[in-house]
Amino acid sequence: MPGLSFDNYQRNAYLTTKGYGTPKATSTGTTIVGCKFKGGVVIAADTRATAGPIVADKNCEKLHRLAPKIWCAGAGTAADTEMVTQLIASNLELHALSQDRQPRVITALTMLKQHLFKYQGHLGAYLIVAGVDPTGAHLLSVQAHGSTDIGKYQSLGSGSLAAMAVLETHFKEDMTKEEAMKLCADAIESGIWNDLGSGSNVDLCVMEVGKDAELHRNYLTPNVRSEKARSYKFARGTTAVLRESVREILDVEETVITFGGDAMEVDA
Amino acid sequence: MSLRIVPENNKTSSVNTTTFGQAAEHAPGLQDILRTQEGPLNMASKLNNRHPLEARIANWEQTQHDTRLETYRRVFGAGEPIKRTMELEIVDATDFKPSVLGGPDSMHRDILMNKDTTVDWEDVYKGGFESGINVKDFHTEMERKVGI
Repeated sequence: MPGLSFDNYQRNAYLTTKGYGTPKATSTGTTIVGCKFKGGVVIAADTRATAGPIVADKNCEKLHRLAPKIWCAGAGTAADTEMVTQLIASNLELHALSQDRQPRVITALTMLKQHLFKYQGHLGAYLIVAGVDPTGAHLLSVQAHGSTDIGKYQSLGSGSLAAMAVLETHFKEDMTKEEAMKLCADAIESGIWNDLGSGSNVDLCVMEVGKDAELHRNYLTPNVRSEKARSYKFARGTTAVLRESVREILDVEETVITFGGDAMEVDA
Repeated sequence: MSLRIVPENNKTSSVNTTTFGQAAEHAPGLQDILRTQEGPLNMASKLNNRHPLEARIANWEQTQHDTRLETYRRVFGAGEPIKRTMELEIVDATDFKPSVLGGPDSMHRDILMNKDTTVDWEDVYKGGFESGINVKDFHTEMERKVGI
């Protein structure tokens, strides 16, 4: 069938019974936050992608662009957030072109919500959608099953509790842009230190009414790898070649085999 | 007539041997396994152990379309859905391009279904079983279309 294919489902179920489990999809363990300020909205995310207990990507990008002034942060299965975001970004662009209007955040939200509901949560994409459009600045979030929320500050992902603690303590109405950036960065840092699924750096995106969106990739890098204490290079002459022996593993013998008959037989 | 958003979850209570494939002319009781090159059909694998989402996704567009036509019928009268269905059938009947050359162009159908400004997984992952090297050959298609 065209579209997302279910062809391998029965095969995978059979393999699982034989002991070959399905590989764990790369997940963004994640802390993502969004916060409104006076005249705009800020979203931030950490940069660690995990595959089970292993860090798959130390500096992945979780902030995706749906439209030049509408950005979303994605938690959940990395492939799902990436692909769903790109699909809806394409749809938003086509829609904006055909309507001859700037795309709106609620349009993006509705497209995402209807798409995710259709797949009943099997597309594991938990997104915080934020942006500015002709109606103003908006901060919204979507869960994988298709439910949505509106708020002045949001957090999603495995580090959402750590981030929400910071947001609840320090959020106030009508902050300045710098205050909001500091708050979001602090909330993500709280997730980085206190949650195993989040780590590495902080990415940030500021969307202000009347201005272009600013993406601050690696806005904070609190996890720079320190220089090694010693130099581990081997000095020249540490080992000389002591002994060399070459063993032939294969003995190749060539013989020519002739098939019966002089001319090539077409119909035997 | 019901207004559904989500496709119905009913499993069929009985199936024919020809439910999962076109009947063969030489053996009308079976599907044409020579043409499809799939080998003898395993009905159990087509019925059991399917992903719960598969039926939902396969029927999604049709269900949405039916609901839309049903609301038009209730608001505007029986003429609306009849006219729209007629237009779609005209397009299906007049647009013919063999699958080996890429299949019919979807522009007219897209405009009628209001999908000309949307992109979905069907446009990205176009394959199905009948794609690539498994495309229906021209003769089969023509026979089916003409009704031989």
